[in-house]
Amino acid sequence: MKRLLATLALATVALAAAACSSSAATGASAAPVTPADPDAPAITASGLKFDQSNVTVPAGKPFQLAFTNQESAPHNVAIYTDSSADTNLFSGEIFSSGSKVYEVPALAAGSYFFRCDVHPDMQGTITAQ
Amino acid sequence: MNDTTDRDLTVAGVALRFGIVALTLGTAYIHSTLGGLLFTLNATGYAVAAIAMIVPVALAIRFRWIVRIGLIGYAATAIFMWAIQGPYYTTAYIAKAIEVALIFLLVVDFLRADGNPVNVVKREARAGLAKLGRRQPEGAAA
Repeated sequence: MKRLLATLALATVALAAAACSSSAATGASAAPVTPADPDAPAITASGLKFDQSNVTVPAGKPFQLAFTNQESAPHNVAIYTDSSADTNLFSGEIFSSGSKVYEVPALAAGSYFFRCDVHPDMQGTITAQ
Repeated sequence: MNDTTDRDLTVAGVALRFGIVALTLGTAYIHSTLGGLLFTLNATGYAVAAIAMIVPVALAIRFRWIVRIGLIGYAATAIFMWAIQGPYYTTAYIAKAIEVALIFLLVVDFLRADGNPVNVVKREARAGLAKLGRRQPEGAAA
C-alpha cells in the first residue's frame, strides 16, 4: 500500500509539473510570422476578442490566414459551415502568445462561421468570394 | 463520521492528501491560464475545494466526506463537459489526465477515511433525521 501511494505521489508531482509547464508548451513563435501571400487575410486575438468579425477570402482555392494571438490565453481560428459549429471545415492550431500562418483548404463561394475553439464567444464570419 | 481517520498523519495518509491538493491546484492553475469567466470560475472552484480538503476547521473536518464527493462530481462534470465540447489539444489533455488522477485519489481517500459511501450516506441520513426528530415540538409527532 505504501509503495502504491509513493508511486501515486510521484505521479502527482509529475502531473503538477506538467500542469505548470503546459502554457509554455503551447506557446507559438513570439516573432510575427509573415505569410507568403502578401494579401493573406489576418486576424488578431486580444482581450478575449478577435480584432475583426468579418473576413473576406478568395473562393475555390487554398489560402493563407495569418493569426496573431497577443495574449497568454490560448486561442485559435476554426472555420465551420455555420454558427451551430456542427460541421468543422478547418481547425487552426491552438497556441498562446505568438503568430502562425494557417494553411486553409479551399472554400466554395459563400459565407462561413469562424470562432476560437477555446473561447466560443470569440467569433465572426468568413466570406469566400 | 470518522474524524480520527480524517486527521490521518501516516505517511500514506499525508501523501494521499498532498496528492489530492497538488492535483487540485494543478488543474486550478491550468484553468486560470485559459482566460474567460467560465475557466476562471472553474479555477476558483478547484482552489476552494483544495482549501476545503485541508483546512483544520471542525466543520470542514466533520463534513470532509461531502467535500470529497463534491470534488469527485466537480471533476467528473468538467471531464464530461470537455468530452462533448472540446477543445482537444495538449493542455486540455493534461488537465483531463490530472482530473482523472484526482478522482482516483479522492476515491481512495474516501474509502480510507469514510469507508463504504452507501453506509456513509445512510449514517448521515439517520443522524439528520434524528436531529430533526429531536427538534420537533412536543405533540407534533402525533
